[in-house]
Amino acid sequence: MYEILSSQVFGIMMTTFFYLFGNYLYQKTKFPLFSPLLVATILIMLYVKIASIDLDTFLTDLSGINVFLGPLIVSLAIPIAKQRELIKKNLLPIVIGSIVGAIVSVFSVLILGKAFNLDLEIIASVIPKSTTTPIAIEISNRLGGIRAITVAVVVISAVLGAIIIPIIIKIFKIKDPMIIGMGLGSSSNAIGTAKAIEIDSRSGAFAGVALVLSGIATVIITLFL
Amino acid sequence: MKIISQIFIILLFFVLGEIVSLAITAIIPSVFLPGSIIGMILLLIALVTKVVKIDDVDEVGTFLTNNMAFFFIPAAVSVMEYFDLLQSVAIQILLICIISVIITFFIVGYVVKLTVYLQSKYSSNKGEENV
Repeated sequence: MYEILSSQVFGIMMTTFFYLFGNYLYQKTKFPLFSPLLVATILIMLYVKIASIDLDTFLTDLSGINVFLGPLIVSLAIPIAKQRELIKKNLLPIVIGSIVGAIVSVFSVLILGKAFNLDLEIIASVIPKSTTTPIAIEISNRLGGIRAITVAVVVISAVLGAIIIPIIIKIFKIKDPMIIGMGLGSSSNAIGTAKAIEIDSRSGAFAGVALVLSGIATVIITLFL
Repeated sequence: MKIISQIFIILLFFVLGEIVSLAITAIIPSVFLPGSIIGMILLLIALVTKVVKIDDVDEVGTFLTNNMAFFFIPAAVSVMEYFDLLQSVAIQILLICIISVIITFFIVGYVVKLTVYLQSKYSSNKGEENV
């Protein structure tokens, strides 16, 4: 029995189960805070804690899911290619929006970090938070940040963004898929892009482009810090 | 076989991206772009130039992109490892993330809107000249 419970398949099964539950909860309530990703994550954390499962072993069990992260980003080319006419038509606002998004994101962290009196080491770890994890780790390394904090903040910030931005969209009745997609992609990396795809296939394509362009822009901007 | 060949193409572009990524860093040591991002750009070029047809990658790619959030669960759970490390600065970091996301969203939104407006104004002026 113990062998089954500690197997890799069981860990992945529990993950899919919690995600399905989160999705069910979200579909029933449409409450933005019940994002399936957030609900699943918290439930798994509780599960790991309560069942006193070794976290390292559990994460190793889930590494099968991680294998797909790279190919997943590659696959974002597909929604973009499908909307290529729309993107070509709006190339200028997309490029400018992505660059501005990267600048605002970097400097807002810098200013807020100073205002909160955080150590430079911590600020450097948080600066690349809007980019994807591999880019963020590189930038954080270069700026003298702490890798672990960067890895955590990239996810925390994106999960928050993917919850907050849909709330803003609702309150301000924002309908333009370009604004939704650009905002999510440039501020909340791939997790924001996932949300944008959920909202609308057009905003998903915009988010995918913004993810890449603002990621590259962040790499370049931080070269000057 | 269709699904297997789609998986192969997507993985192939990921690996190509990794190779180009290494090459870029070898040429410009201070610039690092991950293989996944470059792989995506390469696949986009291949799709637009029709070297690869959308049908050649559609089912698998759309499955992945439509269910993206699921694949980030392990990464999100791993944040648990850093709870102790983050404890002393958790509130500041959460506030920074929240404020920064909101500011970024609004500024990007306005810049996009403004650019669209200026672009349409400019191109409609040009249109009048043509008339």
